[in-house]
Amino acid sequence: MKGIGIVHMLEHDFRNFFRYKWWLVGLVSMNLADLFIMAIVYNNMLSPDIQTEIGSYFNFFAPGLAVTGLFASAFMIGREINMERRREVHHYMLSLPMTRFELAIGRVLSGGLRGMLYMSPLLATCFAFLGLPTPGQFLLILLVLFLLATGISGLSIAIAVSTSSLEKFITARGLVYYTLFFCSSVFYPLSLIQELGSEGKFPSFLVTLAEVNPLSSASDMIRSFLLNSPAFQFSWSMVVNVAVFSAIFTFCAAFAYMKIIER
Amino acid sequence: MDLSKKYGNVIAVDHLSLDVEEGEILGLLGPNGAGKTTAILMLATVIRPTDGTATVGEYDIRKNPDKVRSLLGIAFQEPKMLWVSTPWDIVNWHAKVCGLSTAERKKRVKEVLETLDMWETRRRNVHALSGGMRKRVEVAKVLIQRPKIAIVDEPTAQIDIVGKHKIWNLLLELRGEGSTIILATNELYEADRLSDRVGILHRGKLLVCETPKKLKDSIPGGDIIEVQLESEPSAGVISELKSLKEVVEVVQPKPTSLRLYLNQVEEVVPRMMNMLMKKSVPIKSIHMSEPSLDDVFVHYTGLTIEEAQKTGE
Amino acid sequence: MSQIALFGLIASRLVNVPDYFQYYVSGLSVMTLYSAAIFIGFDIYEEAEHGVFEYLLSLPVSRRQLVLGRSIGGGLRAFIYVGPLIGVSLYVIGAVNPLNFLVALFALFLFAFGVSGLSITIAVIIKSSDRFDILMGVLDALIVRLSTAMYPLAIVQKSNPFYGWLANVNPITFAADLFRWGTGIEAITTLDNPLLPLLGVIAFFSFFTFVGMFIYERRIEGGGWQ
Repeated sequence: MKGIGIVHMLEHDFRNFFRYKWWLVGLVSMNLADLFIMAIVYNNMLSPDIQTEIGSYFNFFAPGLAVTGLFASAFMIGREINMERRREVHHYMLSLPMTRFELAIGRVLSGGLRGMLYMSPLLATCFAFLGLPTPGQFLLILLVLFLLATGISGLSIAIAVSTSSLEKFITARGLVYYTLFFCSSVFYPLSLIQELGSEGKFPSFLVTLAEVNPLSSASDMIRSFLLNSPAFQFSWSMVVNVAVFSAIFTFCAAFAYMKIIER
Repeated sequence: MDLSKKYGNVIAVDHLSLDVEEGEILGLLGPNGAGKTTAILMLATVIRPTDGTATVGEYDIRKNPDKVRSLLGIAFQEPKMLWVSTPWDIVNWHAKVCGLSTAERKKRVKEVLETLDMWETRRRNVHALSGGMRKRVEVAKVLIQRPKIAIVDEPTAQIDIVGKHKIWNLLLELRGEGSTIILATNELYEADRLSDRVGILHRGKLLVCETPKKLKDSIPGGDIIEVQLESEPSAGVISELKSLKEVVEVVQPKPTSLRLYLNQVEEVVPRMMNMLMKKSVPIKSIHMSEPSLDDVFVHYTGLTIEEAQKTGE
Repeated sequence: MSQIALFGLIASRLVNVPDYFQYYVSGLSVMTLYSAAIFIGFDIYEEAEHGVFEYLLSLPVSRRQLVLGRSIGGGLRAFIYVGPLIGVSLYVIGAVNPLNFLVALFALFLFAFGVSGLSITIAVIIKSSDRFDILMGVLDALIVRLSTAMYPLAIVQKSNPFYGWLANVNPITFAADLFRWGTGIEAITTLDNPLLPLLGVIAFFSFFTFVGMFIYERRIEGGGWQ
């Protein structure tokens, strides 16, 4: 049956995901500590302007937390693929009776779905404190987060197959992580970054990056649905932004995976 | 045909041309670095040849790699598994991917893991297994799959003698069911025991490919007969022995002992016995030895397998 | 560095704390030192998996020397790794009181060794890389966030008194506050008297180095590490 290889890869990667449950528990702790400690403390440190704009930092940060959780867990697939390459386990994957396309797409999809699975309790926490979206908004949130997750998974895989050693992978991962995380509206409103840009204190290309960053789009979209604040307005460009990112990196990853590991 | 693989200036496989007959076990014998694993990886479509191609079943490895992989099963030289997995997960998943039905999969997994003494440890993480156990799991994948064409790369490396015999028997069973097996090894006894034909690889080149017997017979004077006589033989006896066409050399290390260097020892011994009896030359004892595949390797390369490995092949 | 350049800069606009950028940068050095020093515990599991640990145990070196060496090595390695970040912090902060700074640096050394000792102690007690992973993750999550690395103690106490109490006895708080005191810049210094945190760091270092040595000796002898 065509496409059955994708299902097999999903089974393989999901089983491996749960084998790292201890690492996942550590990650969940970190995420929850960010929300229930860091966000609460920052709430008492906000400048008056920001307080007016976003209200509570806790409420502001909660959607961002779901997005960071999604990012970290969807990115994990790259680490596994890098390890497979270093230990030549990818030779086994390449010898399996499935097409290269099934193998590559299976990996990208499983990374994305794992991200969704990990993120779901964080999203539920978000809803618990901020209230529920409408059914239509909920479906759109799921769709956007799924697209984001597969895009992140694709990005991670593209990095993993392009780096030959663990150190290079970790360096590249760190660069991507920190740039995407900190140049986004996950931790602070986009208006702050734009303000710094207009004052010349922040490079304009980074301001643009923050504006088009799919993490910003996803976080702000969830905020627009859950927070009653004029600072966050839904726009279809948020969805398009994430979709384009996802499309680019899903197919980049699939292409890179197919070409680079079979040498 | 003319399969080659280059890594920069290093030629790992050099214009390898070989026919593997259906239902045979073909041994690829050579030291580490001879090119066996690289050749296998190309056949399995894991790496791309630099030159040439190969047909596996009826499919070209370059044009129809997906179809080639549907025919093959491969047990790698180094076990390819993540340390967080368990043997149970690994072999079950492999069987699913290879299309085995649930009932067949359960039956074969249990049978093979029990035979390989891996049933009790099937739920243990790979990182807790010894090297030999991981190797058994690696081989188990192919034995469960029972592919049309099986490639096994050093299937009994790191495994104890009892385990080796179990795996050899399972491979022979697999061949008996109609599978074709390509066995890459640097263990002479393994190649000799299992292979219908042996191909000797050296520095990426295939030097010769024949049955083990023909390879041994191809060494002039490779067989040796040591005869201890009751009394010193006459010159006529020695010259009559030398006149046998299979005999290359006759040496008399002691007055009552003869050493014959010859080929096809099993044919010469009865004729020699008859001749000595006719001439009333009483025999005290007789000892025969055949050349090993190591002798064959030396004959074709000038080096023993150990020497070839030491020279950094 | 990107945390300094990006998060530090932007967060300083987000919050109502004067000179927050310098405050955050100094705290980041200590957070990074903690994360780098903890790594030695992971090395021990890696070595155990690859059989290198058995080799180390077979050497003509006493168990105490082995653990002390690992602890100091882990701390020193972390310190070297974080060295450039400390340098950048000093550049960003802009001034330093030399004598105070030397005392602060000494405290950071001890802090790094103490963290390494903590990591080694937990690694040999737990003996499972999975559980070690989770414990380190949880510790990292709590210890770093319940400290003054990212925010002043007064604000932590205002947010939640319990958090404030925990932050008050946290060795990262001692190290971060000492580092800031070492710079001599009033705007970010939160210490009047460095003696208490200094004693705290020394106690932390002493406990996890010497108790760690004792536990290590007892646990690993005769295959006890397996």
